[in-house]
Amino acid sequence: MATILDLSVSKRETSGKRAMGRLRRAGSIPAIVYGRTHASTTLQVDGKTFNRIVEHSASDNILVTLRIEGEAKEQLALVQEMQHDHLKGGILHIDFHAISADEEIHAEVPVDLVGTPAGIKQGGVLEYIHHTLEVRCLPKNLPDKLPVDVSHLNLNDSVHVRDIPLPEGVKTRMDGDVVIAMVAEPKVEAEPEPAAAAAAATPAAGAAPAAGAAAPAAGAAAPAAAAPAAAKKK
Amino acid sequence: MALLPSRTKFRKSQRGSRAGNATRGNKIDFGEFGLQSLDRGWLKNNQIEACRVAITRFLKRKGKVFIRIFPHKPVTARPPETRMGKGKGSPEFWVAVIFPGTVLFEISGVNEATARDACRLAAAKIGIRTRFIARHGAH
Repeated sequence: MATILDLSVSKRETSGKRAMGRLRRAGSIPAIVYGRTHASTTLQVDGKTFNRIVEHSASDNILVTLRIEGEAKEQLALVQEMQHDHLKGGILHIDFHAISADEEIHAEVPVDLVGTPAGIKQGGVLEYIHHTLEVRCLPKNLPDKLPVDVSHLNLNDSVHVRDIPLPEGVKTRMDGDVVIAMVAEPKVEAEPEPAAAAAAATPAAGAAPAAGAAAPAAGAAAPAAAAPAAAKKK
Repeated sequence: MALLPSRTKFRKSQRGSRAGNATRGNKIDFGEFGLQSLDRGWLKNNQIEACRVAITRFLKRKGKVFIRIFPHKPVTARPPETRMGKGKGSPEFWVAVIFPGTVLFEISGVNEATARDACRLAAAKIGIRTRFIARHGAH
């Protein structure tokens, strides 16, 4: 089950690209909290603290109790979205979804395939079709990940949504027939034989528009060059 | 098989802008590991194919490779020894436009060390700086 961590945040008065750049350089992360149980409020979070929470979490579903500076009431929230800098690797912005402890929430939980399938020894490849499962549950029941044993899978066998053991109080809205992972036969790439490759290359070279266009152009240039020479002789 | 569009609306295109970073195709979506570009540039269809061959041969029928880029853009060239003018040249090859952050290839079904080695071989086939990345929680 996902652990609920405490996070102290402060309200943010500034907005805009330049102000957010200054905020990030100072070590904070801009954030927002919204939801039915809390009015939309812009926040700023200490970068070091939040990065530590993300590093130690098993999934992207992070539950926090927000202690907003200046507000007496604590607010339970789910990290709804994190915007990343895909080049430098930092977190740019966090969306906190204010939730109630007694209302069901929606989340995508990663599926963890446990074990080595028997089909891999027969030359198969274990392929993920869906990395996550869409679940609906109370916040206290939100799982970090859903482990599925795949060691019994033979070649061309698959794991469906109905095969995944869900913890108590967790439901999924996905259809039971949806395939999550399968042991597929590897696609064998036929190596082109040298003779066949050479035969294929010859007509391709003749049919190339650039090569065909270049030949008449070169032919046209030769008479044009010859004409001034003939004029000089006269 | 050469990578090129089956049908295009226009035969020739202008060079276009390569400013900014990748805002889409910049994270791992299909596999567990990937090769991410750190530079901007054009990748020709034969370069993409060379990378794919390098990865698939190294993986030896294990794992799965996802090619995240496609050469949509035609590049024209003038025939040699022709004077300037007389219109734009004819299409010569196809390129994919690469921005910093673009995920070029993804690999699944193998361990990290194998994926890292396969990506190293693929990175040697192209002239742009790249780095190896993994999905959050991949093992």
